[in-house]
Amino acid sequence: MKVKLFFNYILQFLVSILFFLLALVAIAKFTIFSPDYVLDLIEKNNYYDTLYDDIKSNMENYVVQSGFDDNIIDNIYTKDQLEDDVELMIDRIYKNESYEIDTSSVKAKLEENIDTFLTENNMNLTDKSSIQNFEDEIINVYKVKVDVLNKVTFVGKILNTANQYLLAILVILAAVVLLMVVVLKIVFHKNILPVMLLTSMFLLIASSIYFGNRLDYQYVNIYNSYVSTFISSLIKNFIVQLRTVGIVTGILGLIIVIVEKLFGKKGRKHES
Amino acid sequence: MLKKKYKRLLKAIVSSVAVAFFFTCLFTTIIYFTVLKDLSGYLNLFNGFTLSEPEDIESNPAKIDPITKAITHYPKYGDQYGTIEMPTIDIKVNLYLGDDMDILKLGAGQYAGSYFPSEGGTTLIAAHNRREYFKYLPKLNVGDNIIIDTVYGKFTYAVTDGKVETISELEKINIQHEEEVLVLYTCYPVDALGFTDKRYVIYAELVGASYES
Repeated sequence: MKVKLFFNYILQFLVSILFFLLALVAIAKFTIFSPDYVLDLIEKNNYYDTLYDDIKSNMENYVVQSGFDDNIIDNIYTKDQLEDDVELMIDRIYKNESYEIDTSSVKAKLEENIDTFLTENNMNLTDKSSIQNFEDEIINVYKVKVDVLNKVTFVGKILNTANQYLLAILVILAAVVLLMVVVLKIVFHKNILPVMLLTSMFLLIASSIYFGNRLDYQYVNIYNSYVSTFISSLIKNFIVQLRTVGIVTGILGLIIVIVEKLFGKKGRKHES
Repeated sequence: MLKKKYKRLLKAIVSSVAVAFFFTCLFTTIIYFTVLKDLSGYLNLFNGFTLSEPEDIESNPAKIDPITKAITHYPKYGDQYGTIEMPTIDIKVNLYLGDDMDILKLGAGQYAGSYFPSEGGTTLIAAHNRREYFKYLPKLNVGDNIIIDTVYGKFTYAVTDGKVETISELEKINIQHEEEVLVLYTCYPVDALGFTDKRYVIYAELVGASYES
């Protein structure tokens, strides 16, 4: 009898921990490892606006020493184009596929502006090598600023591999938890759900407090200010999700206890 | 009857919470003695990419000892610490410490690895060949004055030489600390469109100095 009780509690403990891990994996899968979530967060952090301004400011550094007028870089790229290129980059990174930022339209518009400048100023150049250098630098600014993950291609491998394993882990954990809940119900006549959910609540909230205190995500400094702000926001949201899901599972656990005791078979039996 | 019902409910809630709390403590103890060290390592790795908030350091104006030529409270990188004036070509440009692209957009930038005016070494200053900056540098003649007015004093130089050099020649300029030499440079030809690999370089020597008290 005592052995049965001990075994019962061991199983309850295991199921509770497995459910916590299931919740953790699910949160990670649908936040950090979800390209749609990442793109949504990028938009909320005004990433595209800041990127647009940063590209313009950097291009101006080259214009100021080129002899061209400041309007030489007007309309050579748009915010919509930036969005498309960043979405392409994120999509391919998560699939661990190669990609190339297409700068042909930027080059074409820049050449058009340069031709207009030369025509308006009655200039007819024979040697255009210095202008070619200028064009290459301007296009390179666009490419380098948009393609922030170019130098860290291993990120793509990690994300893609993790995504594949996470789905499998999610399915396996869900199946095991479900099976154990059913076994406990049938063999030990024990509804493990409240304890499982409440344990998950404590662990998720403890995790959010631990990571919130341990990670200096507010002071992240990677590549540039707007990438750093985005990463900081991604981590902050992950921690908030841990806390939110924890609270929800806790409330769910309490509701199940209340419903079971007030309206369940045993509850009604005691009433009668 | 109702009281009994709610008593049983309360008992069930307390029991569930207690068991859940016990499981939490057990699990965190297991984690603490097993994977926490490794986890801390990864978190420290991440924290290596963070910068704490910079301290607000009260900046005092730069001062120079006229005898020892030692400067105290050097300007910060990116700060404007003076102006550079060339009366012969009617140019006056703001002077900053640093010569990256963002600074050169604003005016003349001193290479941070060179000596400050009046420190007794090579002072290397660049600016773009825009009309309001160094476009007319090639019009300076030997003997023309260049005045650098800083927060710690005013220094007058006289041009000793002006010539066209390549970028690789310019990179070999000796940043020495034996004699006061001012070197100004800009892209050449000054009317070129795009980027060139030549620079127009002016050399000047210190001929007068007055220090802020």
